[in-house]
Amino acid sequence: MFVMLTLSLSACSGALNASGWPGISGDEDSVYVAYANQVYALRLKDGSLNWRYPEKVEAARTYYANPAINGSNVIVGDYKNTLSALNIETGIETWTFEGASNRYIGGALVVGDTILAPNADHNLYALDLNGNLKWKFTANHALWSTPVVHEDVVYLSSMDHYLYAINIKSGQSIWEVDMGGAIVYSPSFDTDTIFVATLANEVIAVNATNGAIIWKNKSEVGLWSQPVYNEGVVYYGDTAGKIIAVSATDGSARWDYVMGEMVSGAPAVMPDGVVFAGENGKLVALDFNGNILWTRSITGKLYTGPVIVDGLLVLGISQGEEVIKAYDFNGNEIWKFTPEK
Amino acid sequence: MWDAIIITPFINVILFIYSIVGKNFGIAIILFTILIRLITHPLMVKQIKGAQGMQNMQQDEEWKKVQEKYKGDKEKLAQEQMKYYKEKGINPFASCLPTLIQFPIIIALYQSIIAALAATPVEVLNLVRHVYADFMDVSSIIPLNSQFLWMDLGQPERLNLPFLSFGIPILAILVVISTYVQSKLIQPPSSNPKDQTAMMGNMMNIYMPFFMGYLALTLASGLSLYFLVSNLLGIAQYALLGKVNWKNLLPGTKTNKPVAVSTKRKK
Repeated sequence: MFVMLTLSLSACSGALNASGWPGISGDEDSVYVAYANQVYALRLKDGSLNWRYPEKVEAARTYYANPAINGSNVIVGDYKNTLSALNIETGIETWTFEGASNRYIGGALVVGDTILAPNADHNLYALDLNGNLKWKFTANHALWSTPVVHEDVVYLSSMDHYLYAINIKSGQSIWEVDMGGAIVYSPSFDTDTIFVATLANEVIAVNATNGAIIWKNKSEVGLWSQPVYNEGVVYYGDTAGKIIAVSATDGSARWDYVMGEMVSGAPAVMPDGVVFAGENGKLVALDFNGNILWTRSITGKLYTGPVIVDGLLVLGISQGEEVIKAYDFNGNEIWKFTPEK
Repeated sequence: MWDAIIITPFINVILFIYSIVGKNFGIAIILFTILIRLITHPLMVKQIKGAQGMQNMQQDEEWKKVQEKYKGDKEKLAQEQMKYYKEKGINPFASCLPTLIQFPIIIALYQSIIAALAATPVEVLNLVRHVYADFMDVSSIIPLNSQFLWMDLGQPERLNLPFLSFGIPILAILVVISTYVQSKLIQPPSSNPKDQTAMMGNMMNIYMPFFMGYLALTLASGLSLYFLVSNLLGIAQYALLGKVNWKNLLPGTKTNKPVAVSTKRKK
C-alpha cells in the first residue's frame, strides 16, 4: 500500500506545478509569449519563432506573466521568484532581479524609467531599467495583476481585497479602499474612474482621485473577469456566461448577451466591437450595441481574452493544440503557434 | 464523480476548519488530517489485526510443516490453507479490504489539500468551484492565509536564519526522520533472515524516507506538513494498538526476532 500511495503521490505532484495561461504582449514587429517553461518571441507577420528563452528548459521554472517591453528589453517574471530582462532582438538575458520571494503571476509594466513588477510575496517592486530596486510597496496579500498608471499614480489591485493608489516616484500610498473581495485581474482606467471586478461578485467603479466608490453592480453569479472601459461603457462577463455592458457613469445596464460558457478575463476592444473569450474555447465578437459580429471555437481553455497587437487579436490558449492563435478583426485566422516539444 | 463525491466535501470541510480556527491553514491541515485518521481508525485496526493473523501464520511451525508436506502439490496446499484459515479464524481479506478502502481516502485527503492550497489564479478558480456557495462565503475566505509559523504553505519550506546564507529545510528533515522512524517502528518481525518480504521491507525503510524527503523538499510545504502529521499520527495509532516495536529504533538491536505464536488448534 505504501508503495502504491507513494507512486500516486509522486504522480499527483504534477498537479502542484504552477499553472496559468499564456502571458502575451507585443510591438509592431513581434509577439512575446510567456508560457510554461519558456518565453517565445514570435514574428508578428506569420507567427514564426524568432527566439526563445531559456535555451535549456528548467522544469521547475515556469512563465505565465505578461512580458513587458521597454524598447531594448523584454521583462518577464517567472514562478521561481525571478524577474529577467531579455534582449529584445536575441532573447539573451541582460539582467535578473532576485529580490522577490514568491511567484510573478501578474505582468510587469514599464513606465518611463521605472519597471513596476507585482509579486505574490505581497510586494510591488519598482526597479530602474537596469534592474536596481528603487522602492517597494507592500500590500496585505498577493499581487496577481499588472497595475495601471495614470499621471504618476499607480493603481494596483490585490488579492487582499484592496485597490491601492501609489505615488510612482516615492512608492507611498495615496489612498487605499477595501473592495470587499479579492481582485484577480487588473483594474481598468477611464480618465477619472477605475473599474475592478472582485471575487465578491461585484463590479465597482472608483473615483481615481480619492478612492471613493461611485457605483457597485452585484452579480448573482461569480465574476472571473476584468471589466474594460470604452467610450462611456464598461464591458465584462460572468461565470454563468452572460456578457454585460453597463454605463460607466452609473453602472446602469445597456445590454447583455448570453455566451453560454464562463466569460474569462479581459475582453479586447476592436475599432468596431468587443471580443470576449469563454473558458471552454468560445470566442465571440459583438458590436458596441451587443449584436453579434462573428464567433469562433477553439480547442482548449481560454482564461483571458485576446490581446490586440498592431491590428491583430492574439489569443493565448491553455490545454489546447496550439498555444497562440492570431486573428484579424474579422475573425479570420492569420497564424497559429505551437511550441516544439 | 470523484470530485463531486469525495474531493469537494473534503475541500469544504478543510475550508470550514480553516474558517473556524482563525484562518490558519497550517492548523486546518493538522486538524483535518487528525479528523480523517480518526474516521479511518477502525479500518486501520482491522487492517493491522488481519495482517497480524497472516504474519502469525507464516511463523506457525504447524503451517510450515503443512507447507513442507505439500510443497509439490499446489492444489492440496491451497485446500490446506483454506482449512487453516477456517481453524484459526483468519480472514485473508481482513487486511486487504480496509487498506483498499483507506487508499482512496488518503489520496483524496492529499488531493483536497493540494486544491485548497490554491496559489495561482487557475487553482483559485478551481477552488472557488469546489466551494458550496450556500455553506461558505467565498469572498471571506479568499485569499487563503497560507502563512504558518515561518512557512508559506504554498511554497517549498526553508527556515532562513540571519547567520546562514542558505535556508534550512526543517520540514523535509522532519519528514525524513518521521518516515524512517515510522517504518522502523511498525516493521513486523520475521523469523527467516532470508525472507524476501522482510528484505524488501528493509530496503523500503532506507529508500522511502529519502523519497518522501525529496517530495517534502520540492513540493508546497502544506503537503510536507501533511506528510509529517500523517507520519506522527500513524506512529500514534500503532502505539495505541500496542503494535509498535520500540526496540527496532535502538542501534544494534536485531529487528528480525520471531514472536511466539500459538499453535494450538481450535477444538
